[in-house]
Amino acid sequence: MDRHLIARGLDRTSFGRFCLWILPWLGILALGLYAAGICLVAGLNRTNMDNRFAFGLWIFLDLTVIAFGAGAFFTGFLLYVLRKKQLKSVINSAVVVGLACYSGAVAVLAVDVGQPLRAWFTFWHPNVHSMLTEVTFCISCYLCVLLIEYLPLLLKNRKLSRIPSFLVFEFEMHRLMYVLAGLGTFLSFFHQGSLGGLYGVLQGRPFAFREGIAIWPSTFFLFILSAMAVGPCFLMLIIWTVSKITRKELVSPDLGHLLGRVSGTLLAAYVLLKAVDTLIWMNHTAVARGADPFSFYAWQPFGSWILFTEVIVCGLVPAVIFLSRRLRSRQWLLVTAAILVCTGVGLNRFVMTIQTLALPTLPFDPFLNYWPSWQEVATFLGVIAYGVLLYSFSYRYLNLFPEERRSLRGTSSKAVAAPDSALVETT
Amino acid sequence: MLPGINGFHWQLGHLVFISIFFTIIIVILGTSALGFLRSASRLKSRDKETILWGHQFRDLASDEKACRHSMTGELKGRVCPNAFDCRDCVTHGDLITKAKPISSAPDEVAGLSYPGQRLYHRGHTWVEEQSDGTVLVGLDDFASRLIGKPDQVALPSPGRQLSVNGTAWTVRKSGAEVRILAPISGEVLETGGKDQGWYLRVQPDTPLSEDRHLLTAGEVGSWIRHELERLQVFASSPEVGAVLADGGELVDDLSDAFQPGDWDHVCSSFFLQP
Repeated sequence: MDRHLIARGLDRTSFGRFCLWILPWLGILALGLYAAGICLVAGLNRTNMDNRFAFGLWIFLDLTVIAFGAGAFFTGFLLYVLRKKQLKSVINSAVVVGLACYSGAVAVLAVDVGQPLRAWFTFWHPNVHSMLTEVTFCISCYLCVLLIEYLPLLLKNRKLSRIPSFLVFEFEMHRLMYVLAGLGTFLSFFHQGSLGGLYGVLQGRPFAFREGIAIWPSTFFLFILSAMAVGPCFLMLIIWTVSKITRKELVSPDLGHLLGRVSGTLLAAYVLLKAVDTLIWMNHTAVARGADPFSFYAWQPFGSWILFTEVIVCGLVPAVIFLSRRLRSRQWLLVTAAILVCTGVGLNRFVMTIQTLALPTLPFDPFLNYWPSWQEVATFLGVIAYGVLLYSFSYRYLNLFPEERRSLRGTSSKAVAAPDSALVETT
Repeated sequence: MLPGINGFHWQLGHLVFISIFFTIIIVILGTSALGFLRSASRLKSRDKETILWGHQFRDLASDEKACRHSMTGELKGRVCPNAFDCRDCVTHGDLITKAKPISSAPDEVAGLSYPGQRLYHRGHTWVEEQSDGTVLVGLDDFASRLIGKPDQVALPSPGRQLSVNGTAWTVRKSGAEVRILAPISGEVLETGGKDQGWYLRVQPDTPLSEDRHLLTAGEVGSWIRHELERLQVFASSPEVGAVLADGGELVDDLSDAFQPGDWDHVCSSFFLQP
């Protein structure tokens, strides 16, 4: 039914099966939109956040998907700026993942901030002393960059590419992509950092407060590094999942090793710096502010197991797997390591957002409990469904993996042939 | 914070922040505008068919873009850098000067008819000069057998101008729409069909002797054998891979031998339409 929209040479499931796949996601998205609509119309009193617990599930989601979306800027940087040509086969996928993550984050942020009619206030009345101002500006700009990067992909659709003007524009934009990749790196670098810096400057919360360099606390740099490490892992996981669902080899296995090696190096640096940072915080920063660092881990369920899981299980272990040629050559270990890294970074964002706010700061403060309302959960799930749908449609109708098409045709050079018996009449 | 707001006073922080922000906005807008301007200028300077073909050629697989001289064995593994337009190719010019003239070439390749007086285009069309200076354009034997009897043919109306590698006519077969590339530039004078053995009578813009992008009878053998190899790979099952058969002749109408998705892929590959 939609064959004329699918690029030639790409084998896709039937339209009926595709509808069956997207239908549940559409349902979840509809529920998410309804819940977000309620929050926008009736206000944030429909959520379980309050003045004490101002950041909840949505900010956790924002921080996590923005870190996962870092694969887009980092892959673009490696390909267009550092000229790592092998990554050409995953750059389209990275752009779609980045777009899904960032647009989803901006959408949920818009619901969280509320007052959509005054959305422009954030640009016209910015507070230059707030890390969030920098985050708002950078995320908005980077979303524009991602949309421009997605445009050439869209214009290569089988139907649209018949229009010469679109093809020429796609080609010209492609030639300028290194400018956007560089800009994306700059923007992403800063807003990933500012998201971390946001917690590091919380002087009234000794659990999160960190010292650093000039105006930037150490969390600024740790967030950048962790995002750069998790981006390729998330991309690898997405490609592996799509590959398993579609039962196709979409990229060469060497690419997984390359992404693993890059991620492993960054992760090792991150684990080292995180360990140093934690030790400095435990022995100096927190103590200097009159806090006993171990008391923060006495509030269950936030025990020291979280720190151990985040740094050792989801940091050191995958770093070792990625950096060992023998270990990363086993696909199941490569995938397990990627899952661990994504879990670790998600856990880190959870700790920074939820644990920071839940822990008491002053002696008379209670330990705060927060459980998201159904509207928050539905909006959260809606963003995930949106991401799945955007990727599913892009995979079906756009040529996300150039090697997928070539792998079908490329074998011909190896052929030793006379006409095949299915095609000939014997004479 | 910004000018025009009550109580605003410029500070260094404002200057730094606003400068960086607006520089970024200018770079984003400037890059997009540059893309638009370059596209507009390219669209003005060249005809759309040529542009479309140039882009489609870029997306072909490397074995589909093999240089004619690599198929004859003169060069090794060369991919055509000129979108099959050898008229300005220096390498081609050098090689045809050095090549020994071929006295006669067989009219048949692997059981397929390729008359020696015709010139051939890589998109599986042929061109034959007539005594009145016009040329006939048709589908070659490989393509005719591949498609068999078309379900639908859309021919250009007389008077229409063709450009090399632009669309000559379109064919629909078993759900796949195939765009047949024009082998030469010229004005369509008359249309034929499969039954007549030719599809278009064209008044060429330039004498055929200048159309050196077309394959000569001496080159057809290696090219068609290359195409048959590729066809066999498409037809062989992925589990078995390519097999060496005993020989034979291509049957008429191969569309039934492929699954609908594969058929579309085959058409895309052999008619150079990614």
